[in-house]
Amino acid sequence: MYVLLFYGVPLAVMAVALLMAVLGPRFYFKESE
Amino acid sequence: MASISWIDWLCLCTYFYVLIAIGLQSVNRDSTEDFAVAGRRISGGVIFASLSASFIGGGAVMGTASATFSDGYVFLFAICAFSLQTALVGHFVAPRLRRYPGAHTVGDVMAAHYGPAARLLTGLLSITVCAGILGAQVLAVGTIFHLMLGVSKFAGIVVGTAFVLMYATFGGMWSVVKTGVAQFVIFSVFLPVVLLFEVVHVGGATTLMDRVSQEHVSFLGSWTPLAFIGVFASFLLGETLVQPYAQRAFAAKNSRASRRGFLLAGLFSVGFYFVAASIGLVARVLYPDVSPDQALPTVVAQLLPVGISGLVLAALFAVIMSTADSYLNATAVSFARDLYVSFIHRGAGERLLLVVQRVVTVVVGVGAAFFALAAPSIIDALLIAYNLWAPTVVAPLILGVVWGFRSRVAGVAAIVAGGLAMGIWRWVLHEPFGITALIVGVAVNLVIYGLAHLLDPRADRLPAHTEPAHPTAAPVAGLAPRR
Repeated sequence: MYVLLFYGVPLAVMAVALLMAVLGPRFYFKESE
Repeated sequence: MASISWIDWLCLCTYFYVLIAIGLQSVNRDSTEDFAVAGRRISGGVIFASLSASFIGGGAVMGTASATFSDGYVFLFAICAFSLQTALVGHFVAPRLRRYPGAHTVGDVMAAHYGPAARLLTGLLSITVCAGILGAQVLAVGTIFHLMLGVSKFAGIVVGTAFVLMYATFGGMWSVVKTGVAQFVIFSVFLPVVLLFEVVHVGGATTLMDRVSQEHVSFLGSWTPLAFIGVFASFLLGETLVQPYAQRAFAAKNSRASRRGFLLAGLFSVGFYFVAASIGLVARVLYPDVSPDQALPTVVAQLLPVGISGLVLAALFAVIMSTADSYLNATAVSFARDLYVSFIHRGAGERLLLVVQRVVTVVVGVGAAFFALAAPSIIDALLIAYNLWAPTVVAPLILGVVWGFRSRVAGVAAIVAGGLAMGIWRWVLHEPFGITALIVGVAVNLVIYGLAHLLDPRADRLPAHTEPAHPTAAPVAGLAPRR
C-alpha cells in the first residue's frame, strides 16, 4: 500500500508529463494550430 | 547551499534556452485574439498542461512542502479542495464560457450579466490580484537564485523577469501556453524525482511510515475542525476562475476541450500535490531540525547528486516562471479589455489595443521586478486583493454563467457587500469565533445577491442555450445590452 503510494504516485505523475512531452508537439499542438 | 557544480549550471542554462526558444516561436501573431486567448484554438490536452502550469506555482510546491513539514498531511487534504474546485469548474462552468464568443476576460462575462459597473469592479480586482500574484512569483525567483545559486536577489529578479518579458510581450497567450506546456513537462518529471530520492534514502516507504509521527499522517493532525474548514474553503473558492484560468476556458477550441482540460488538470493536481506534500513529510523525517521554509531547499542541496539538483532547480524555476507569465499576460489583457477599451478609450482599434497590451505587459513586468526589489510591502498590499476575489466575484460569476441570472443591481450590490463584509470581519473584527472572513464574505455576497435579484424589477435570465451557431458570429456586447 505505502509502496504503491510513495513510488506509484510520483511515477504516475512523471508518466503523465512524459506522455504530454511525446504527444504534445505531435498531436495537441497540431490540433491547436 | 550556494555551491552547485558546472553540470547543474549547464542544466539551468539549457532550461532557459529551451524556454526562450519555445517562447519566441509565436512572436509573429498579431491580433488581440491571439494575444489574449490564443485564437481560441487550444485543444484539451494543451489546456490541461498550461492550466496546470499556471496554478502550480511557488506556493503550491514550496508552500505545500513547508506546510506539510510542520503540520502533516492535513494540509494536503485541505489543498485538494483546489483540485475539487478545478474539476467542478471544468464540469459545470468552463464549458459554458464558450457561450461568450468575444470574451477575453472575466470582466467581459460579468458585463454581459451585470453591466459596466460590475465589469469595472471585476477588472480592478483582476488586475490587482494578478499583479500581486505576479509580484509574489518574481520575489520567489529572486529568492531561489539567491538561496540556491548564490546569485544576488537583484540579479535573479532581473534575469527571471527579463526572460518572461521577452516572450510574454511579443508572443502573448500563444507563447505563454507553449512555454507552459514545456514547463509543465519539466516540473512534473523532475519534482517527483526528489520524492523518489528521499524515500529511497530514508529506507523505503514502510520504514518512512514507521518513522513519521502519527499526527503528521492523521486526517486533521493538530488542526481544529473549524480551522480545517476555513483553509478548505479558501482553497475551494479563493482562486476560482481568476483571470488566467478563465482565459484558458476562453482559449479552448470548443466546450469539450475546455471540460476535458479542466477535469484532467483537477485530477492531475491531486497526484502532484501528494508529491509536493510528501517531499515535506519525508524532509521532516530526514532533517527534523531545519525550519519548514528550508525543507525543500535542504533536500535539493544535501540529498540530490550533481546534475539531478540542477534539473530540480530548473523544475523549480519552471514552476514559478510558468505561473508568472500567465499572471503577467492576464494583467495586461484585463487592463486593456476591462479598463482601457471599456472606459478610457472606447473607440480603440485592434492595432492600438495590441500595442496597449504589450506596453502594459512591459510596464507591469518591470513594475513587479521593481517592487519585489525595492518595496516588497507593495506586493503584500496587492495580495490583499487576493482575499477579496472569492467574496465578491465568484458567486455572481457562477450564478450568471451556469443559470443565466442577469441583474445590474444584484451583481454590483453583491460585489460591494461581499467585499465589505470580508474586510470588516477580517481587519476590524479580526475573525471572531474562528470563522474565516472568506466564509462570511461569500455568505453575505450570496444573501445580498439573492435579495437584490428578487427586488430588482429588471432582473431576468439569459436563455439556457445562447451559444451562437458560428463561434465568431456574436461579439460579447451582443449578450450585454439590457432593456
